[in-house]
Amino acid sequence: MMANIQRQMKGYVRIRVHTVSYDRFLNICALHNLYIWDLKPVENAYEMNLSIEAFRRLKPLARKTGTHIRIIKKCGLPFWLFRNRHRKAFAAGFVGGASLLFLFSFFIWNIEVSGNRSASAEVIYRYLKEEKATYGTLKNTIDCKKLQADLREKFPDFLWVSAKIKGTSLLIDVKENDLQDLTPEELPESDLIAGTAGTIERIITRQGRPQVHVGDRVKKGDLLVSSEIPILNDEKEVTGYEYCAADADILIKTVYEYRDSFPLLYEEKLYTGREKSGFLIQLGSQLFSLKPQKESYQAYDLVTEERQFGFSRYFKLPLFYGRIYMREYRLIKKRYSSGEAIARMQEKTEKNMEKIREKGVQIFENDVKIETDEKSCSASGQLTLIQKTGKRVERTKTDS
Amino acid sequence: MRRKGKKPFGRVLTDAAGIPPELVSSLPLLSMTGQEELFIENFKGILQYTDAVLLLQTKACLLRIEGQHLFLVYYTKDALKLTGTITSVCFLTS
Repeated sequence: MMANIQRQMKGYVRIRVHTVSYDRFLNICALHNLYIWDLKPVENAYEMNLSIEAFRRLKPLARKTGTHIRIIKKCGLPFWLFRNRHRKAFAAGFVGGASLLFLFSFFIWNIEVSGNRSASAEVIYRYLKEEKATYGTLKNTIDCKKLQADLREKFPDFLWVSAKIKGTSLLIDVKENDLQDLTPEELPESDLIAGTAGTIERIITRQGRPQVHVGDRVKKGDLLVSSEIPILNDEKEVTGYEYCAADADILIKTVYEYRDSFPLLYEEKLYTGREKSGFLIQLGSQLFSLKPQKESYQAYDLVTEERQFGFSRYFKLPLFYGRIYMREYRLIKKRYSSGEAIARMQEKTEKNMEKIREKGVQIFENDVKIETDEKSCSASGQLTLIQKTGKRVERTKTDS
Repeated sequence: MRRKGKKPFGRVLTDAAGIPPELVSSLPLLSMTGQEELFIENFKGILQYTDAVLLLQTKACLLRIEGQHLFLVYYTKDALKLTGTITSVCFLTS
């Protein structure tokens, strides 16, 4: 494959030779290191392929062996360029395209963010825009090291940030401050505070000084376990402090208000199955689309599938292409019966409870009641949850 | 006179040393893939080539390859590659 591409790039000729002694001709070619390929006997002659350079060296050998050579085919880029030398518009287009590509390669056309959990990609994109490191920014104006430091400063949860430019892509890789992954020895000196308000249900302290007891009511942000351990002398006087990474299992009971409702009257989309599609091309911020005619359907959904054009994963260009689908639907007005509404609300509530349980939270009490009136169906009540708490924060500094 | 079937002393030595014979005695080296492909090294030149026969001169003997639709994929001083339907490979004394 590679050899074939190389031959096409350098150009080669297919020749037909007539001679009295073919073996002499072939052996003399081999002796002069001429690379011959696709050699085939045809009608009292031989046909073979030779590179342009080998063909030039062949002439004196042909004279020596009394061989008659006829070129039957010229292949490859040099011949193609020669044949098309008069096509000025094509050449101009080719040069223009290549220059445009070269010019585009100086800018950022793709931003990829990975490893982020606390801050969404959109938030990071917005910040990058503020920092002038966004789509269409000149690559050499972006200082990756400064950007890394700025990102760390702006998002304190980012423990480590890597910003690099590859092709026309800006790649941001983030490692977040996930202290739960660290072993107790690796943890920095830190306190545990209440993540939510509630009543302490259980507290088992492994390290640090507990500040609350079972049954205590705490507010959000209250100190639960202090990292400061006082050192007492024989007279029980504080002589100093020792600091550690507070570590404890704390369960907190919290009461939440649960409210949800939906109207009994609703409109349902009934897709007719009729669909029309069109094309779109977006160059930078300029959108060119060949949309299906709007008048064709009364009500429709417009779905766009868009892809960015690029030569590789990292060499993207500000060119997007895709298809637009117009899907027709009819709106049908419906009304839930009381039974249907209650069943739907029960299903919704159960789904929400399941989400809560998935987070490792225990539902202690559930007083949610479902009611329907003429207009709507609502669920309201109180949920008592028992959940883990203890948000790790940098220790409060005390002058000792 | 050397007894029939007995190797020359030089070959005995190289065999004992574990040196490949094609390196010492310039014997032709043939690698064949089924009937379709034949790769040959250590030859002196082509004596005859048609789409049914390829006759090669090697230092030790003549090599006659017969088949149908024989086609030389490439041919250099050191090696050649032949494709087609190879029916026989004969070693002839020159």
